[in-house]
Amino acid sequence: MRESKRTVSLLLRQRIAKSHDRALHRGFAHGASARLCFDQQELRRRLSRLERVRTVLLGRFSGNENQDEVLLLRAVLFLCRSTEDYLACLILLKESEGHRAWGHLIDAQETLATAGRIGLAGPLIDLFRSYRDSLSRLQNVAFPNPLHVSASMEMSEKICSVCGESLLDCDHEPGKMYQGTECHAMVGKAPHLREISFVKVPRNPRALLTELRQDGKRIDLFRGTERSFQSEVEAAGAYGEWEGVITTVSLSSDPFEWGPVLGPYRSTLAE
Amino acid sequence: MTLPTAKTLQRFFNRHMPKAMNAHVCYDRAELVRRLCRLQRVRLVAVKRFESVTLRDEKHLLYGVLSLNRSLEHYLASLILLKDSDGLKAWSQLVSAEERLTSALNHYLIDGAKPLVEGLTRLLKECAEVYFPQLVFSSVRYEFLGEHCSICGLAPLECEHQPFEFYDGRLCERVVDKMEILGIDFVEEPRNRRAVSYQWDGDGRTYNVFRGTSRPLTEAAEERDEATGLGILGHERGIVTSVPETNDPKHWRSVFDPLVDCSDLSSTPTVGEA
Repeated sequence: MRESKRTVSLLLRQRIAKSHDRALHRGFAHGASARLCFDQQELRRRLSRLERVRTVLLGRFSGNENQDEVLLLRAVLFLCRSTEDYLACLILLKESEGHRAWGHLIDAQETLATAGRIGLAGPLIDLFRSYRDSLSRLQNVAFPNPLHVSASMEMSEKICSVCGESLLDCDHEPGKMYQGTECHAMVGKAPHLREISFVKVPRNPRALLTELRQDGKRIDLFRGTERSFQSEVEAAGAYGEWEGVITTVSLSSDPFEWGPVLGPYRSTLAE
Repeated sequence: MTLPTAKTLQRFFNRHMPKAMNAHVCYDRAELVRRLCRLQRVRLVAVKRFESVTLRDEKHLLYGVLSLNRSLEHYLASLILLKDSDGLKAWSQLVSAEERLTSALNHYLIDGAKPLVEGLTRLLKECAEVYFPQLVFSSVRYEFLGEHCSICGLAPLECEHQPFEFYDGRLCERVVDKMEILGIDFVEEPRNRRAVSYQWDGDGRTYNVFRGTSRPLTEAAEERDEATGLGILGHERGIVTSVPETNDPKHWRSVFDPLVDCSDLSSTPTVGEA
């Protein structure tokens, strides 16, 4: 019985996926096939086209009561958003903004993973896999291999983002999707910071070292440039020690709250 | 290695090459140009300094290091051209980097060069896969009808010289005099990776593979007619036949001349400086 229910659901998803094929081809497939060697203008053109496609897809939400279709729409929107970030990454790489390009690449990977967790069907699955691999390869080749910062902290209370109860009392699991919304563990009270480690495989890839100090010089790992210290205070390490640690505000899981990608950068530097 | 120049070459290698190989596409364009410029100047100084080297083994050692240097120059030029959205030229530079690396392996390698060669081989392969995926190439089938030895001028079967060996300081090469083209195929893994199809027609438009752009076929056709009038066949423009670089570093020109600005480099690097 459960098997036949799953088959019906899959068939339904495949049928719906077909209806979104055109929008997908115009948006996601077109954007994901972009390469670094492309004209910058062409990359920008594809990015703005994707943003328009996403706006059209958002319009299909209104009044739609078919749960399967709404879920698939969400997945498609996350795919589009991921591709927007990928294109932004390519544009910023050309503009020698390596640090910001890295942020967009990580955003693209995270948004793509969310799309995968919501569930994809039909031709989307193949697109999803090849696109995921190309993102991963770009990360390995285009960027240096910097050290990451990982904070270890103690939390006394975790609250479920779906039902608002303590995570110990509810049945939801962080990282899983419930009606198209991802469950997060929200921190109830201020966490107690225990230590900060330097790691190669971090939980948050955005928290990374962007600069090294060596032989009286500051080496920018993303620009490859070196410069001398500007002042004695800077040389003593009192200034800018934490510049490399970036904390980010996660992308909302509600597509209606998303803004354009190449606007002000979503991440902010910790003070 | 106990050769007199080995130690100096070792220092030259350690000082300049790993830094050039660590460059990534996310780096500042100006920084990439600076590193490329430095490598070129170092190479010129090295060629001048080692002009008098005549020992066969020393010559091999020198050519090996200089070929590695040259390969890195092409790699950096490729990254710069990628930033400039000149995909076709960037691809050509990447292929040149691969060819120079292969050439380096035909000579002796100094101690400690092996990890760099392996790393660079891997890096160039990954760059080709990530930055220029799914390319289609044309492959020419041909038959050599006549070739001679670059040392004595005799046919290969009649002379005793070995290709890639030095004779009185000159490198032995086979020079093709005459060849016949048997056919042209479209393949994914060609012998000559420069022979890339960089544009194709479809749905009334011409699509440029390296730029990602398309334009009406009529517009492109007009340009082709004009080019044909000049003796350039429109559809064959993607097939680039290149004259291979000579193996003698003295005759190598600098990579990427028009775009390199050396004016910001105040000091001239010297070979083997500590």
